[in-house]
Amino acid sequence: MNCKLAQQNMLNYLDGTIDKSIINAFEEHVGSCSSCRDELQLLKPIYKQVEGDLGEYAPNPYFAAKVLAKLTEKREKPTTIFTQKSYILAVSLAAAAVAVGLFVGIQFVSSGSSLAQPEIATILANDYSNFSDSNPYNFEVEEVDTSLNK
Amino acid sequence: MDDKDLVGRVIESNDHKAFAQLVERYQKMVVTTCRGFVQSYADAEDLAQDVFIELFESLPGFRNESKLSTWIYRIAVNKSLNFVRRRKREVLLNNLYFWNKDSNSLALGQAVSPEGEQAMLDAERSKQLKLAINKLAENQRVALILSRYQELSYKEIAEVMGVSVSSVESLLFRAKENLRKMLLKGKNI
Repeated sequence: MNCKLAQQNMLNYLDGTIDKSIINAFEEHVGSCSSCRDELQLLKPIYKQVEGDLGEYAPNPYFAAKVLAKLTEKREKPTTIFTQKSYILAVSLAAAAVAVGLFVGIQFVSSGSSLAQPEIATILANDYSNFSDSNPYNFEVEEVDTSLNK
Repeated sequence: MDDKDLVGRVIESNDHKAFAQLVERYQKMVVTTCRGFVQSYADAEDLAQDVFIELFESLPGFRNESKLSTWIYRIAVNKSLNFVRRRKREVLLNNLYFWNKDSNSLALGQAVSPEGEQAMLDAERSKQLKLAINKLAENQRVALILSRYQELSYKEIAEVMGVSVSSVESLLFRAKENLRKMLLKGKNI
């Protein structure tokens, strides 16, 4: 076995998944190659720490009760009319509706209508009052005698 | 009572006692799987609670086509990966604010007992291993954790991950090769 193959099998050797047909060759190589032996010695305590981590576990006897309590709490929450998310969504939709309304309104007033500004104002004024003499655009222009200028 | 009966009771009559039995049966499996992804058992237990809540909500969709344990492993892996992604973002943001703060250093002259020293060494190794595992590509990480922390067979890992057995072999080969290189990085051999 060469160093490359030994290195490829180091973690398999440490976790016991190495192919049994090469285990003797691996051990022989590591026994005679100081570089691979050092590498194995360095990796062993770190990689083997998985067993240490798993050994630490002591099952919590209240775990199932905690899960059920959390589940009950979660199922009761959606009964409120507005959750935080739906409240934010509702406010966003209302703001968007106002913005769209303003935009459409401005478009209609500025270019959407074929009537000129004074005509609109006249129509609005007429709607407001039926007295024709109060119409600001309905006044008679005095005729100017231009003969004096001659 | 077997899994199928308990699942049936949960779906048909919302039986919380039956669900509690399922939780107790799979508690260790889920917590230790989550522990493969996160730094502490406290985080792993919090995550495991979320796994069981999602299991409860998704049980009506469980068709008994795969084993219940495979279904639970899938939920545990997805929850754990999401947790790690979120934690990475938080760490990144914290590092932006506290980039020069070193909270791990011991005060000078602080006495440590031999047992305490061993515990610290184990904790340091555990952290080093976990950091290296978390740097692996997600699919390599999942395959390695299911193999190393749960000792699942290639076939079982393939079922959980929804890939072929040969893909699992390839993922584990690359995961171990990358992990070896990362653990030896900076060490003079």
